[in-house]
Amino acid sequence: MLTVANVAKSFGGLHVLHDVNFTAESASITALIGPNGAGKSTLVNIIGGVLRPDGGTVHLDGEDVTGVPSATAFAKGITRTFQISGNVGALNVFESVAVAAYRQARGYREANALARAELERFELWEYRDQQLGSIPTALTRLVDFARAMVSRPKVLLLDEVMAGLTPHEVDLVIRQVGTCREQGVAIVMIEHVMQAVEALADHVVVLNQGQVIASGSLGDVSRNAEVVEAYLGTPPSERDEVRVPADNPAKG
Amino acid sequence: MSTVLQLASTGLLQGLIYSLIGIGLYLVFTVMRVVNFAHGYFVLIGMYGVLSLEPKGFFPFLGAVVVAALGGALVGYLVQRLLLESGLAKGGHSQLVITLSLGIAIQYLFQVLHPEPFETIPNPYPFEAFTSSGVTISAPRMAAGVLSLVLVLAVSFLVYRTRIGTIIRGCSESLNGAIHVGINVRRVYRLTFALGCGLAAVAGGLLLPIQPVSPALGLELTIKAFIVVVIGGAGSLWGTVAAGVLLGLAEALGSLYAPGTFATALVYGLFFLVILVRPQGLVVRAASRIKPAETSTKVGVG
Amino acid sequence: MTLRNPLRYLDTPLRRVNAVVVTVALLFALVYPYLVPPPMVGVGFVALLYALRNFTWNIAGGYVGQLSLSHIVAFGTGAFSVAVLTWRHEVNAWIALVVGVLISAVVGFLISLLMSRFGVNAFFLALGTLALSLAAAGVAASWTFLGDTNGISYSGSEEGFAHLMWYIDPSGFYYTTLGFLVVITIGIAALMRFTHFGRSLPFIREDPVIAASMGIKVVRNQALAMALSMGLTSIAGTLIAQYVQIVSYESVLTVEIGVAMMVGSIIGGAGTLAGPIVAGIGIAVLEEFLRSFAVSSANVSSYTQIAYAVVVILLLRFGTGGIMPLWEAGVRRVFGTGRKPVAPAAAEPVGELVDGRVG
Repeated sequence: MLTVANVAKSFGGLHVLHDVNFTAESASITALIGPNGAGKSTLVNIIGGVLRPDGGTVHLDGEDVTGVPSATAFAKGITRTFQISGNVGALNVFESVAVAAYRQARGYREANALARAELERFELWEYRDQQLGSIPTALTRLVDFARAMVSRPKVLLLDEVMAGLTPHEVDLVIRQVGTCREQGVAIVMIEHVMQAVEALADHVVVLNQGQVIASGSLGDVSRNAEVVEAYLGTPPSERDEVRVPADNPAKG
Repeated sequence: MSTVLQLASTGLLQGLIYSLIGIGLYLVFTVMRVVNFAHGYFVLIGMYGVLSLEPKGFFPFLGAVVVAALGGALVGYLVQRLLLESGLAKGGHSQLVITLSLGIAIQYLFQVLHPEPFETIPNPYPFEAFTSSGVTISAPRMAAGVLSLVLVLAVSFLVYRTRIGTIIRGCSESLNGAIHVGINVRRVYRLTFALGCGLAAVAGGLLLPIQPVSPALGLELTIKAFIVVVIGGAGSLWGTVAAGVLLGLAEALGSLYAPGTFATALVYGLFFLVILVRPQGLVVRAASRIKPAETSTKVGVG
Repeated sequence: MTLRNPLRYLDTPLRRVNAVVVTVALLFALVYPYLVPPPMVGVGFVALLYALRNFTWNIAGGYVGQLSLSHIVAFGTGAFSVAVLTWRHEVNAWIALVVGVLISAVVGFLISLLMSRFGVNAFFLALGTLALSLAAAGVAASWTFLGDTNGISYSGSEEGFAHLMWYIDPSGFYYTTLGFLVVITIGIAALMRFTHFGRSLPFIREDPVIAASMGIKVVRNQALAMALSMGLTSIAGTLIAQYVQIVSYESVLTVEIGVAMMVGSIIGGAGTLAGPIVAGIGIAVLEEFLRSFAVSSANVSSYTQIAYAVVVILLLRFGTGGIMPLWEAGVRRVFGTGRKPVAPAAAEPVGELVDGRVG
């Protein structure tokens, strides 16, 4: 169970998150939705250890994991996928999964066996020798997902895994995410594809301008007036004011 | 006391030349964000250019400097046009290796053409040394310092007071913005790179009567140019000028206390520390402090 | 399973062709000293030394992407440790070699750690390590302990493998270097293939943030790779010092050595196993080829430096990854991939001049 309490983050005077609270239960899927610039990616970066929050705490099964480095967060069971896989195009598909398998594996053979099993589960085994840059975008998403799952995480952070996929591919990923939930993983997903949110989300958290404005089931939050306004009512010019500079921390 | 004064004035004048070399690199590195590890070798092109024209007298010398500067600018233009431009989208690593290799190629080309080290030309100026209150300054050193200062002022006028300067600074602020308002970004890059290289070549021409030229000098000057630019910081051109003068003074006065090679080792060691502690420079304007320093560990070849 | 059937690994034409090439090359390298007169054995030694130097640079520079010029310091440390310890104080040369390796490794570890702690990017890493190497050269030039400007000359009388010294026949140097090269290559290949540490290095190079989120200790592994890389580079320095029997700051602490390592690896293919070795041997052959045209020896090194530079500029300009990627593509074209064809990749649109900024 992942508990986020009173998390705040600002970048040079710009408050991106303030007082964010939510809980992601094990064996359930929490969808994090909200307009662009609401602070979703920043929140995921804080949970994943890429960013350190200015205030508040993150607990995993009661253990304080606030601001631990990413590698430690991974070791404790917090795994994530990335929006962009383009800049790692030179990496090998099999290696991408196998290296992540070392969280569970005792050595070379075990890591490779786990990676093989995971790639076969995702129907990616035939691409094992390819580079990430030379396979279609939808497949890099699946590799990314396989990479996260092979570590047998406690918490899985999915950052727009559905973006740019065809409806058929979305169905494939939805099935895999569902299976993953059955294994007891607490899944937090940032998602714009409503098909996926409707199909999967047990719990929805709506973030707007750095604050949680509603949470509950999808039906509950979609009847919430503030949510409707956040999505439809605010003029675009105002929305643009809240930009998240840390969307891509690798850049620079 | 007069030794100190003597060294300080020589250091100051040498520092002005470093400033001139430095602002050439400032335009390329700080403003256009192109890595040019061959910058010092463009100074070398200026030196050997003037040397091979063998100017006799003041005006032929000035003519030779102008010719060498144009030559350096042309080579710079071609380097940007043919070698670096395609790497613009890829980022700095290929630029780094390309320009480093280019520098090596230039160095050894001159090694083959001019195997004799420490070549120089006699004083081309129509006057001899200046002496005042125990300080003697040779004519070429005085003239090089003064001409460097004039050129530094001219470049700062160009960058801060003309339309061309506005365009250059615009590209520096936002490349995409510049593309959107219809600026031919590639041409701006080529011309700025050519200008930076041309300035280095001018500095080389002015340096020649003071400092005999050897092919190995290129690397030393490249490092010094980077020292000036890195310590000068990204704030404004004046930081670079100040850092140039600072380097000249430090070198001259440092020679009082430490033997030559050890003093340079000390300078390089200090520079290493500067890179660690403050890659954005020491002479920083207050305005540029607001921008958060973007640090990244992203590395890779090509 | 590899023990049960080693040929199982040779499942693609590329691997089979490479296995044949490597076997032939190794056999040739073993008999080479018996085929040529002693001066040519010396050339062979130099070729292997270049290969060793490039290969060790490639561990940090190619696999992890740390474009380091501090390897100059490592090379110099190897040379100076044997000069100071063995030539002056009669310590066994092998002990001096190990001391050089340890000092270089510690220096490499600290440099990498400092650079990551301060968040220095690739460009400033190159510039900073260059400054450091120049500072080291300046110190060596003014410190009598390191022979200041005169350098340190060999003194000793003992010969043989135990003393890492052969006076007339260079084949001892040749085989020692070959041994180091083979052992180090196999060791690094195994490290890269079988260990978490080795497998993590390409991820660190491509994207440290993603690497960290996969549980890779980025800073630690970078520092370890740098330590390994610089430590092994020191061996090349020790060997060349014993071979030429004189060490000075001008001969082992020059920027050209660092650039040669960097550029040699890139020409061969940065981050490939065989590339730096092929490029190192190729450059030695080129030098010898120029010498056979009665070019003066000073100009030989000038021309090879120019050739180095031109080749690497062309490679980077036209975006190829060096000799090894070209070779692999060529073999695959001739012999096929040996795998079932997979769906063709969708062409990624390439943005033009998206961001010209330096990282």
